[in-house]
Amino acid sequence: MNFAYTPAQLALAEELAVLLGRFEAPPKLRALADAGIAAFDAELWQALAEQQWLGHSMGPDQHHRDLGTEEQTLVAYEAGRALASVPLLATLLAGQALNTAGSAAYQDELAVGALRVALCLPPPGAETPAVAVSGDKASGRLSPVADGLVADAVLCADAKGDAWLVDLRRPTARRRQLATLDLAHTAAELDIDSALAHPLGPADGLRARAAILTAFEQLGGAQRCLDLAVAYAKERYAFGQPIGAFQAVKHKLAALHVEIELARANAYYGASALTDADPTSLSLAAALARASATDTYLTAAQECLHIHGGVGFTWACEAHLHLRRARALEAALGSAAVWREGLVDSPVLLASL
Amino acid sequence: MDFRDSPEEAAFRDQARAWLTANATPRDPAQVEPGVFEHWPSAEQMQAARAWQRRKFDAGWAGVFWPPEYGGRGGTIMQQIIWNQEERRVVTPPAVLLMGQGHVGYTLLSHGTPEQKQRWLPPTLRGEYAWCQLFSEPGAGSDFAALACAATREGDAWRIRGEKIWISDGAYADFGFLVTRTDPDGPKHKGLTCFVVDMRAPGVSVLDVRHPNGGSHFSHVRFEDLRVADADRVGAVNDGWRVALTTLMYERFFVGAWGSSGAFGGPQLRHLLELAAKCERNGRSALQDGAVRQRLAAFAVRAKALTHMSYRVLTTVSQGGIPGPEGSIVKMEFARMSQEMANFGLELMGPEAMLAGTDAPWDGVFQAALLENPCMRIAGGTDEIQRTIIGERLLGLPQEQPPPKGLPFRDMPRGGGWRSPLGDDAPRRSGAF
Repeated sequence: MNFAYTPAQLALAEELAVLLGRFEAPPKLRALADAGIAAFDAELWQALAEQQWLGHSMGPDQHHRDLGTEEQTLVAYEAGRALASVPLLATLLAGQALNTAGSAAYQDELAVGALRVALCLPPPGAETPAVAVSGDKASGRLSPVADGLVADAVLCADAKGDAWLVDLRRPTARRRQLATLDLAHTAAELDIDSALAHPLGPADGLRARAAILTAFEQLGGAQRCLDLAVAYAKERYAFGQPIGAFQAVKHKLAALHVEIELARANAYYGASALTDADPTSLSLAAALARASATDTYLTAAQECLHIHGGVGFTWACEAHLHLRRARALEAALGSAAVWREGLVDSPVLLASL
Repeated sequence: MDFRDSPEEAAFRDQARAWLTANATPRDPAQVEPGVFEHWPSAEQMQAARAWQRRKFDAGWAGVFWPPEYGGRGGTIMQQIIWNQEERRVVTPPAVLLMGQGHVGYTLLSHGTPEQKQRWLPPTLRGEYAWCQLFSEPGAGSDFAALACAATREGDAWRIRGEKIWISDGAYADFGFLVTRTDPDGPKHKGLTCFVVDMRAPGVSVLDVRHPNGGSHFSHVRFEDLRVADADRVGAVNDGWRVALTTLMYERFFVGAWGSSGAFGGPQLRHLLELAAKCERNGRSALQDGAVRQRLAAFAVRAKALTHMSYRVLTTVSQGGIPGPEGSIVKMEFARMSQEMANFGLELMGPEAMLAGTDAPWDGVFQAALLENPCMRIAGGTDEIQRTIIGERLLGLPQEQPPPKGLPFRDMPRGGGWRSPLGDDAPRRSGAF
């Protein structure tokens, strides 16, 4: 039984947390939103590339850290906690998918941050948004695509359920910035016309992987919300004592802690399914991780805002940034309900009861 | 990230399974456990439980984690848990001897003198002593340290007067592990002392407590001038709180680890799915109804989360640690989920939900659960106590104080609230919403 990270992995996460902390996101995100500029922290992206956080595990190589799947889940978690305004997850996913598909294409560019990737996969059971691929050329309209304005490529699917990495750098894609709920990742509409497309295999497995990594990002965000709320409940006094002393507040925070820990347990199961040689449990694990983390981040963001009282209902409080992000992450790959839909028919679930 | 056994754990599991397979019949894992609140074990069941315990003892499987000098196997806590998991896979007599080998046994191992351990532990492992834990009182449940059952010193003995309630196994226990108040003048937590008492001694009376389902599992125990030798005191005088905490820690710990046997709502969820397949909603099988599917799936997500949470607790154990309050998350949330599952099953059933026992679908397990499950949310620390522990111990939130009435305003503790952060509230903003 070893259902935990190793000390070395946790040290790696701490190192990333320190880096992300130096690029404190919330004030920047508010300022960019005020100016109407698409959110993207170019300096942070550069730092991530220089410190080799963008390459995935491909064996020893001077451009890559040894970021295996478990390390990637920690990267996602820290990115979520810091509201990192960079397309980190999709870029890691693309590298992994190309590697799995046996393609050496783009790996060097990915590792040095020269290929920023956006993610646009349809939720389970949906066929859109999708591109049409003929030969190695993709066309179609993808919208909305988070980070679509700053991306060099988009990881998407066709209507047949195959995944593609579509290169947006030729003058074959028109982009339009969209007013976006999430202030950390601005969405765009992409009109793609005969862009170069690399096959990545079936979209299902990639979506499951994306859902599990995203669950860690959602968890990181949820944990940040709880931490903010707990800190505030200790410093804010009412009726002669910190509000966190009152059971009404204390129990709300304890309940949120419980939800986060249970969602974390399901996310760990997702991580174990991703590293398991046997893919049987992957779709079940993705649904469990996704459903738990999606609901939990939304709850955490809303409770964080509420615990802050009037202070929570301000532009200056970080809570609304998470509320926005939680909804955007839910929207991007489908709601918890969508992921729960097929669970009762899952033979893997039934066999495990 | 791997929830499977390490090679050593797997080898131990194989050994345990081999002995159990040779000595017992396999249990149907889909079967929902019968309630513990219906009836006392009969004399035959009691005898069977003692005989099964003796058989395990003779084969070296009793007290897996107890030291060999007290009849144990000298293994690790993880091995004890693996043994418990494997033993659940076979049909066994009612677990009426669990308290002695579980909470009470571990507490005696931690706090008993060598002489006390020699007196009480080996017969317990042999199945000769059944135990109960005498903690709660009519006026001290959640606030357990407020207990009042008095022990007063009389030479080299103590006189006990008071009462205890919600005592599992009280009706047939040979011995009880008792917490008393020895110093009513000291602070609440500093005046408690623990004893082992003979439940058949004069001065002890044991009454049944009847539950909502009409059955009895708990007892109400009264002590009227019970005399206990000082040699039966466990731990120092007035140090009973620390001793009792050990018991509570083990209780929490084993509850938290227990779900790794797959018991976290799995059988209940199976029943719910079978029930939904047979019930009708909007002119079709309820299993095809979107709202029903969502409820069932949400239970599945929860049940699996609890199982995976227990893997996290077990990892702590596997690596030699003792889990903290996070172990109680599993107990609290499993109790809440079980109650919701029973409610949903009864809702699906329609008119047949008004029946009970063998006239009801699935021999009335959902109706039985309706009346039994509320107990789990109260026993071993209510939901509210668990949340307070999580809030204070894990999140570091302060304890609630009495409101400072009559305090001059200038001395009133104040702080926090709005401050203009980062100058962000100053400039007008344009586009974003």
